Amino acid sequence: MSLNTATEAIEGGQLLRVLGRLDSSTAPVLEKALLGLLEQDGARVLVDFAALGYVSSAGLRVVLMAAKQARLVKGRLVLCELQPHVADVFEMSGFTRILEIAESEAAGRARLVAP
Amino acid sequence: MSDLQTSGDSTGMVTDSPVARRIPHVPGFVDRLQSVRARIFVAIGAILGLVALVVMLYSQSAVHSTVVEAEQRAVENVLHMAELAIRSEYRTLLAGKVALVQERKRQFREFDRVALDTLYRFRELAVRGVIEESQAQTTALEWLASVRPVGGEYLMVFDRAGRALVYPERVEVGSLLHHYTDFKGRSVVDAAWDEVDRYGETYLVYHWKAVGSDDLVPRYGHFVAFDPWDWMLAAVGDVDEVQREADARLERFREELAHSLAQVEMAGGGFVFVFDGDGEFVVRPPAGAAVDAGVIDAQGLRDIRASAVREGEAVRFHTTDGRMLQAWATYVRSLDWYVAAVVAPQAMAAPAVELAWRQAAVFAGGLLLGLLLAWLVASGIAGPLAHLGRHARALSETDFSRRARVADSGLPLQRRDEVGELARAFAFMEDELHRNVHRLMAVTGERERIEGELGVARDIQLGLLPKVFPAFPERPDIDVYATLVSAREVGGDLYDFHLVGDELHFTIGDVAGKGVPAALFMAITKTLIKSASDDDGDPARVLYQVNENLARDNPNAMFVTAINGVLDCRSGRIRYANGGHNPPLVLRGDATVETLRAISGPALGAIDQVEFDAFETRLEPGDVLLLYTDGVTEAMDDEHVLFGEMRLLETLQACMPARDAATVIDAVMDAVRAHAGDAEQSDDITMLALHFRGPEAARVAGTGGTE
Repeated sequence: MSLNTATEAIEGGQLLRVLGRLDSSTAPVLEKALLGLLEQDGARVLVDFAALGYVSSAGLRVVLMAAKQARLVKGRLVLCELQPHVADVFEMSGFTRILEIAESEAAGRARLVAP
Repeated sequence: MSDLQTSGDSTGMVTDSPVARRIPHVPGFVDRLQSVRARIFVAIGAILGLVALVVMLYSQSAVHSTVVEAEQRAVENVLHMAELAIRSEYRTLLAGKVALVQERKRQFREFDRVALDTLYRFRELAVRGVIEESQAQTTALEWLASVRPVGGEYLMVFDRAGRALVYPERVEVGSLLHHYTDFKGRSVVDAAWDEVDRYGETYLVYHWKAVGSDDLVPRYGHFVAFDPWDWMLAAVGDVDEVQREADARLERFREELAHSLAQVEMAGGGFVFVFDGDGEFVVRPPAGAAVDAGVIDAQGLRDIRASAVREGEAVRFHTTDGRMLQAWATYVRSLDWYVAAVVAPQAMAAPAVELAWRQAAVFAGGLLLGLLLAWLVASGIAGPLAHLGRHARALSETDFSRRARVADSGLPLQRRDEVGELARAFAFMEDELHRNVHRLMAVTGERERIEGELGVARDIQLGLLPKVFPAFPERPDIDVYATLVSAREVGGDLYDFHLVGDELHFTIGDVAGKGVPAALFMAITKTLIKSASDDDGDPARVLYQVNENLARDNPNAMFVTAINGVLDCRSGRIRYANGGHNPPLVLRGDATVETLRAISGPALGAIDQVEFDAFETRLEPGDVLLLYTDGVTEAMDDEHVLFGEMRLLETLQACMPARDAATVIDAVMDAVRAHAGDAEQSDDITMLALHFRGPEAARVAGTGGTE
């Protein structure tokens, strides 16, 4: 069980690609990576979940923390490319209502540059 | 413990197995031989021994050959000297013989001249007529018979006819002497007359009857004639007297030779002796000689004689008792003498052997000294090593957690050599062991503390939940059953239910995250829901109330998914609200399962100022409402395959119609466990089932008792 992340600069902010499984044991990895990207005022981050196979409630908590941090620095956190099972989890927990989720990476990039 | 084990083994601490480790190491004979001390001992002993052996062998061989060479030279000198002495003596002997004969001849001639002068005086008396001629002759014969030639045997007188006139034996006077012959076979009498007539005098050597016996003995005589009366005078001597003289002289020489040869000292108890061609000893071997001459037999003498032919070459022969001797010999032909020098080869080796013994004594002393030194040096190394060994064994019995160091710590740390290096490495290892053990103990203690805290968390979690079933034995119209199986690392699941009149309020929830924070958050949530539910039974407003409380001051973004609902036990109507929780399932009597996917709002605590919607459904008698946490659907097997909603639905369908709530939950629990197999449970598994029997069941029970 492992989780890897890769960061790249894109127009409007940073793109964080997440690969692996997001559960209580790997949550700290994503937490560190995401919060690191959301330290500066107005920081905008697009998270690519295309290679994320599983997310537990502990994983959801990290995403929620990141979203709160983004709100705090008046930045923006956009998720994209959620696999069906992962999307179900976000849906079921009701987080789709409080998180910004894009259908595709392209859509996500577009949201990042939007005002 | 694996650290301890590894460190222990790396010191070479005796063994592989823990059993052998406890057995004290008793050095066996082989071990002793292989000890450093023994090796140094053996090495030094071997080196010294080898050197000693080589030196001894070499010097013994050198000394032996030197002795043999010197002995040979000495022998040659002795033999040469003896030979020269003998030859010289022989020449002297010959000269003496000749001189004696000459002397005798001169004496006989002188005597004969005196005798003739006397006869002339007798005849002159007769011529002058003083006495008768016959009287003169008789008187002359009487005088002649009374005299004896100087150095001779006797005087003999005979006439021309060969008739004896004077003779040492009276009876022979008057008899004829013709039958005695000289070496040429002539009659001595005739030959004497013949030669004297011709030369005036003569010497003859012949054999003649001995005086007093008829034996013929060698004689020599000087013959002169007294012509007036035709008498022949013969001064007769004994030839053997010359020989006897020579023999006496030779005997004196032999004694001198024996005396001087006895003085000759030779290595190896050697000696010199002389024997003649007949095998008779001329000079016997000295009586005190190391080799008893008596044992040299005729065969030995023959061997020696044979060697005399080959000048300077030694011959070896055996004595009668089997001992081997070595001899050199030389031959003096004129006397038919053999001079032999004999030595015993073993005795000749004696000086070399003696040297070897002396060297052996010196080397033994050196060896002793060397080994003593080696022992001191080896002890200096082996002692500390053995000390280290004992120390290492003591380590295994040391309680590292209590004592700082092994009690006996007289390690040779100050030494500047490799032993000191080893000791320091040892001390370092021991310190590391202590450090590791203490660290290990600290870590273990920490883990125990955490385990203890998790246990507390689990106790908190479980202590808050209603666990008495059947929960409402007085209410046959509803059957409630719930279970919470904690994971090793406790999660934050919760459930709750209570009756308010005919309304059953129920709750299930799942806090994100694990451990103590999750357990505490769960406790808060449960309290808040109970409190809100008591104030206002509407599920949507309950969740709103709780969410507002949780979302306020929530820096760690803790949240809890939860369902809160109310069942009207008279109608079977259910009002509920779902804050991001797994959808409730309704198991119908016809074995269909209904999934209530409606979501009222996000998980509680995630964000404030959120409105929650309320939903409704209805249970018919015999229906079951099942609430569960994701511990059920996300239970994993060894390969991380989730149990999933599909398996859950299939399991539920299989157990319908359900006899009671517990049956349903047990069926799901069994299915989940079967799926997980040996995989460790990673999250709390919580289920809450409501089996609605309806008011009819209550009426039946009222008359017929509880089911």
